[in-house]
Amino acid sequence: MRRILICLALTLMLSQPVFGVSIEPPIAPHSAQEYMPDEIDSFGDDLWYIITSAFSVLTPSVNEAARICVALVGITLLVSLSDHFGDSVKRVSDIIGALSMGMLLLKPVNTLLNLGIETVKQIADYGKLLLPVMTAAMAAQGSITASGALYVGTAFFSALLSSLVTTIIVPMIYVFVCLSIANCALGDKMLQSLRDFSKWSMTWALKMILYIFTGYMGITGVVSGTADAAAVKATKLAISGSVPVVGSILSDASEAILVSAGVMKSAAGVYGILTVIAIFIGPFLRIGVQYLVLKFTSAICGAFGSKRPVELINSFSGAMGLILGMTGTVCLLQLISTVCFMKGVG
Amino acid sequence: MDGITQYLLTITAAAIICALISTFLKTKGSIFSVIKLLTGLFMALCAVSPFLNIKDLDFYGFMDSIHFDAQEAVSIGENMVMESTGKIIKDQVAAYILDKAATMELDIEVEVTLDSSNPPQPCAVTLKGAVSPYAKEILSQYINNTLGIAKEDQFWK
Repeated sequence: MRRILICLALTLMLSQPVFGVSIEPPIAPHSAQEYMPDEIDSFGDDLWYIITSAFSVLTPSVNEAARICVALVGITLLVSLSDHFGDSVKRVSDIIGALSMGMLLLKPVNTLLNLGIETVKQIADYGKLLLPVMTAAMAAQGSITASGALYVGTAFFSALLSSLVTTIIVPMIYVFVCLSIANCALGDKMLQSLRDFSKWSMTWALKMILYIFTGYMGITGVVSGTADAAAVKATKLAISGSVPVVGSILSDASEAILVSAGVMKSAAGVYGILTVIAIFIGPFLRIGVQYLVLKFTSAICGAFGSKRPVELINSFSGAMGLILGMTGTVCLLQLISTVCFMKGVG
Repeated sequence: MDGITQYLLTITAAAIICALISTFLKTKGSIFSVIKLLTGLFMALCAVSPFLNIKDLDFYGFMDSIHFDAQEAVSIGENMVMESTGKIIKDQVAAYILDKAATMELDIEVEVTLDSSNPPQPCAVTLKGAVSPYAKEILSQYINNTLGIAKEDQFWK
């Protein structure tokens, strides 16, 4: 039933309406078009198409991650062997091992972090274009108060998250990585606690923004939706009080507009959701592969390696997890916002 | 971005210097505790110093601009509804009048004017065509009774 409704909405979106409002979502950016289907048919099929398209271009990332995995296992093996040659040799080998692991892993971290920043920017930019469209469509459907309130919430949290990512999270990830390398080289407790604190603060900040945003959207949707529903009812009552023939014309016209606005809003929302997913899926898979391979490497090295190199690999996989969390939070915020707009008057 | 890079370099360098001092000057007794305390204070100062220089943020200006943008987006939706509803109502009212004119075998053109209420209602009508005074009277009465447009708001050309 849901698929039929989505198909109907998308068909109506692509056709020229005779009566009613015409709302078009912004066109997907170039990077997302690579994964987007040529024609939008049904949400499930199109989502599957996007996922399979993204997986098909993943091979180079897997190969690169595998090469790094082999190199890391080699370094861990050498550092672990030096454990048997006394304290001074161990201290030097720990420092050399940490630096060489850092040199090896800093490049992919830097590349993927830049990819994450670019993705966050693209999602935020697309969100800025989609937001007025969804607001206008929701207002056309009669949710004047709710659409304004949802716009304010989404724009505020989106701007807050974007600036948090670029000004605090990204530098903090670099700090986290540098502290992890230094901690591995020197084994200092202060560095370790600073490293743990930087990771905790980033995770906490992202989680809190998402919790507060979801709460705000939920509460605003219900409260403003009730006021809007009452306003729509009052308008209907006013129409029924006018001259019979005119009243019927007004009622039919209002109904046609409400229905067409609802259909257009759903269609624009579905297209928007697919586009946001298409922007996110490529970077998500690339970062995800690196994250999983590093986790796998740390599990292998944990079987034979000494504590500090394994901890460093774990820290780098943690950094990948943070990049994943950062881009995922921005994507999730955009998806939640679009779904709230699509839900409309309660 | 320069400020962030500077902060990043400062904090990382400070942490590594502190760790190096702690590692290589590892001695027993109170001197080491003093070294740990001093390095800890130095680190805390480096970490906190940029936050002490934060200038006043224009939060209210930022929120005002968001509210303004929201209002603009809502207005677009409202205008879209008014325009589309108006078009449908105009077409429907004109269709009613033309239907009646067709039954009277009249060939006329109709232009409906709407008021600014929400939803817009027909407030005047302009009719063009060669019509006898009798037919004009019947059609005028029909428009008045059925559509609620008073005779003084019906303009014949």
